[in-house]
Amino acid sequence: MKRGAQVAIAVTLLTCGSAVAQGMWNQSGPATGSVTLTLGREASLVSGREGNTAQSVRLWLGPEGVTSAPVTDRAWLDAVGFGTPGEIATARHGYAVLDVGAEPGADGLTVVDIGREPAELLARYPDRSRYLVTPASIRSRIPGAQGDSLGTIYLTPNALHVPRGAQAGDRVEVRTGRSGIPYVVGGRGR
Amino acid sequence: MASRTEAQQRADRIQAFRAELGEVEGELGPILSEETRSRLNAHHDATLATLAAQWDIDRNAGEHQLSLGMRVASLVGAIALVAAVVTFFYRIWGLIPTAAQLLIVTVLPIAFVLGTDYATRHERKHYFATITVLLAVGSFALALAVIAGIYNLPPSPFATVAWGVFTLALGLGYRFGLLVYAGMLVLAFGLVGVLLRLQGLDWSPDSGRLDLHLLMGLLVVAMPSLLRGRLDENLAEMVRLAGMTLAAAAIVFCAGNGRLSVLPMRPGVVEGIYDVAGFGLGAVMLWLGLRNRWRWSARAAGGFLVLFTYIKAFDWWWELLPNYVFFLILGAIAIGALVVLRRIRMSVREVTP
Repeated sequence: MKRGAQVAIAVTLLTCGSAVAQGMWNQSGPATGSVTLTLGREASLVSGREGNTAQSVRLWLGPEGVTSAPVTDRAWLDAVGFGTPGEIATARHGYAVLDVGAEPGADGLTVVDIGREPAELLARYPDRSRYLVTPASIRSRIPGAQGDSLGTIYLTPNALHVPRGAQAGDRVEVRTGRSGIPYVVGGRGR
Repeated sequence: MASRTEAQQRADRIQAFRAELGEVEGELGPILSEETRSRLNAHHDATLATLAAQWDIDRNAGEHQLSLGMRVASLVGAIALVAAVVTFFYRIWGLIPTAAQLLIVTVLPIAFVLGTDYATRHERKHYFATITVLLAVGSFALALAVIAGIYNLPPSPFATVAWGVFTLALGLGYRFGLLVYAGMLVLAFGLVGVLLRLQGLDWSPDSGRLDLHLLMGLLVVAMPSLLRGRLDENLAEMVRLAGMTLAAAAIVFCAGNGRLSVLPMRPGVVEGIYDVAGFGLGAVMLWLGLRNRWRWSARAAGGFLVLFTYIKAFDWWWELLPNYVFFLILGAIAIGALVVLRRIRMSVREVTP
């Protein structure tokens, strides 16, 4: 077998193995957060679209279908390392804190804080059944752009894999793992 | 002969020699004695037979056309089969347990790599190997996407680097130029992503800091020269093309939006700098390509210069000028480019008769 094939096989085993290990390690051990979401109110179920039989849950950052949130506090941008606001069009990797019960009766989750490290945010928001910490991409506002927002927050990823079947109207439990990556435990209330 | 390309070039030279000899003898009459002619023909026939047996080269124009058709068919077939594998997996993965999903996506690329190795041992022209190797590359991408999807892993530049290394390893190992180009491009893009990610920055290209992509592209262009001939020239050209693609993309975007650069200047000034950089880089690459006989690099540089000129013409004049004047200028630019390229062609002909 040629060396190119040997390298390709080694890369496959190494990459797939490390990705699976990362995912399993995140989901092993005690969860650092656990919130329950109602499908159709705080998240939507994505399933059976375009020939894809897998299911995922898309978190709402506002009314139905909204998957990004504005940055309203200048300190948030500082927290993830931005310099002068909007000096260049760029984005930073960070974590967002989502509040499940910020506004009773309102649809969607509310972003209440962002930061660089999930541990800091978990310490600041200790109510594990109310706050969900999740990876996010934070983009600063481009100078000249319209609106009051200082930037935009996107969840990465913005859809969580559902290991077992779920239906619209179900309640699903979303936990935050050891690495700060959220995951769905399974459908509930069927 | 060290490669099939060299074998094909030898066969092409023999065919060209025979054709030209026929033309000359048609004009001047027989110029070779019967003994010389028969010795020459016997030697060429034996050489062609040996090359055909060893490398499966095309011995005439008809075979060449058929080979071209078969290459296109294998490429189209490979793309269709990759689409079939990916869409079929997405059709069934919700119906099978997670462990089976992980097992399938991990085994698939390995199986196709082994299939590629088998195919390259049993056919010299790599028609079926093209199919299996593209299936391997597509399956590897599927594995990365599925595992990231199952565990909700954020997009990672390390995964992009791994995909690039995988593709490049197969391209270099089995001499697939297209894979060397794609693998090098993905690897270079991923490495820039790793640098950005280590600084806590989002690594998607629309997040800016494209100067890093430009520098990485230039480094990739220089890589074959830094390796000092350890890379086959055809594959070296693919590496240069990958670097040029990355650098050209960074220049085009920064010239259009100065905020995508880290240069500490006003966006308008940055855009002006990148305008100059675009024309400068294109001209330098064209000169280097012609000087060093890098055929693909020279063609790509010429193409980039023309395309960049049109892009800038659109940026500068589309809103200022009436449509007919704008298109008139584009036509004039095309004629100007023809005149310049014709002069370059003539000067190259004088240097290399």
